[in-house]
Amino acid sequence: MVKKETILCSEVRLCPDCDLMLKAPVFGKDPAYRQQAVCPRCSCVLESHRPAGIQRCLALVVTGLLLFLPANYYPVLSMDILGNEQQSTIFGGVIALYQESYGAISMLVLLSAILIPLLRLLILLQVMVAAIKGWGRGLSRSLLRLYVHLKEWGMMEIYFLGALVAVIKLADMASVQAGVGLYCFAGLMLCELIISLNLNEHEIWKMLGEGE
Amino acid sequence: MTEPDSDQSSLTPNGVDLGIKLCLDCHKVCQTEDLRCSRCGSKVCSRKKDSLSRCWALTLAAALLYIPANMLPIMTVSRFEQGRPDTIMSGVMELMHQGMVPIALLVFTASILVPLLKLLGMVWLLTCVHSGAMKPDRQTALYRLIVWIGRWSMLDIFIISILVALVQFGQLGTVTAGPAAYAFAAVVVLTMWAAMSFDPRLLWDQSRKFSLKGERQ
Repeated sequence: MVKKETILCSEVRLCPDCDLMLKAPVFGKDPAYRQQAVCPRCSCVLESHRPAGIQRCLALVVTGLLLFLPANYYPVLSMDILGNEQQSTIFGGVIALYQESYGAISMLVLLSAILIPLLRLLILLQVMVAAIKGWGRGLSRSLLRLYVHLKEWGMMEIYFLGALVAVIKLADMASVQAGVGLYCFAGLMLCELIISLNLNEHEIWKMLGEGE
Repeated sequence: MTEPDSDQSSLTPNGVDLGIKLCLDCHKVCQTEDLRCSRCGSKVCSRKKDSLSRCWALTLAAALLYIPANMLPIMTVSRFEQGRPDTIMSGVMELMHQGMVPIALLVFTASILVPLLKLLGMVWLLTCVHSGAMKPDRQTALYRLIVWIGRWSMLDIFIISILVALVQFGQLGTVTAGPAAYAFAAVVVLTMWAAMSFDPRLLWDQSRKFSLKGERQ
């Protein structure tokens, strides 16, 4: 048995899915490749690394935040029946559900399609500035924890698919058109996707350091 | 039985044998004595707390709600004042009749198949932990699939939210949400919670416990 005293926690990793102890991975510096450290026992992805990932992510976070405004301000879809036109933004869907007394569901849509994606981008902005410049690291550590917890609950890609299905469903009833909002929303969704490919949370945690 | 075989644990050293545990929020390796992670401040447990009972409770609650989610109408499309309430399944059938088979399959998969398979998958994983019928690598892969796929069931809720806002033409056509939307949203959220409260490391603990037992006999 390995003695407790010999384990230096900074040099080992534990697999989150099977609790196997592993050496901390070392990554190369060639920026062309994304590298992954995978658990040999359960093939859980322990860490995924891309050099200069932080700079890429920061650029994408700013792009995403810029796209967030038009994506929510302009209508996502517009529809025309016999000259009557109707359009709706994402928030319009929330309001409509609320008015039909489906308050809890409208909250769920508000959170998962609007607020949580926005919050996650804002958190990432603060966290990455803190990691690079060293401002407000304590706060950033709490925020990054929140970011990890909210990961499952941001559902932009699913909302986007829902909008596409809605277009096809309505196609025989009336003429339906995608609005500026939907294009911006698609861009926002892509930003988030590429961020998740480039973000190495381990690296950021390391840069944020530890308490006092 | 409390001490694992020495060769077994040196071949596959598990954190729990070595006096270390993982912070699931920031993935820092902590000592067993630590209550909170020194880096991110979250509570650190060697295994998720009350994982099995929480997971059972949430899965069963979701399974119960799966019934009204499929029986009650989820939305009503009315044209010229004539409304026809649709359940999830009748909505899928209507898409089929209109000749939109791929979309019908997509909605069927996301709204009916995925929640059902998720519930069955969770029950399967939980019974495996209890009975010790272990293939932990495959079961962990199933668990990861369940976690990944669960969110996609929100598709129907988003479609309803878009249709309800967009299709408001008075007599020409309106869409209203139905009571199954509540049940369905609850199923999605509860199964997501259930998957999050399950700890896949229990699969590996169990498999090791049973293989050791086998060697001794």
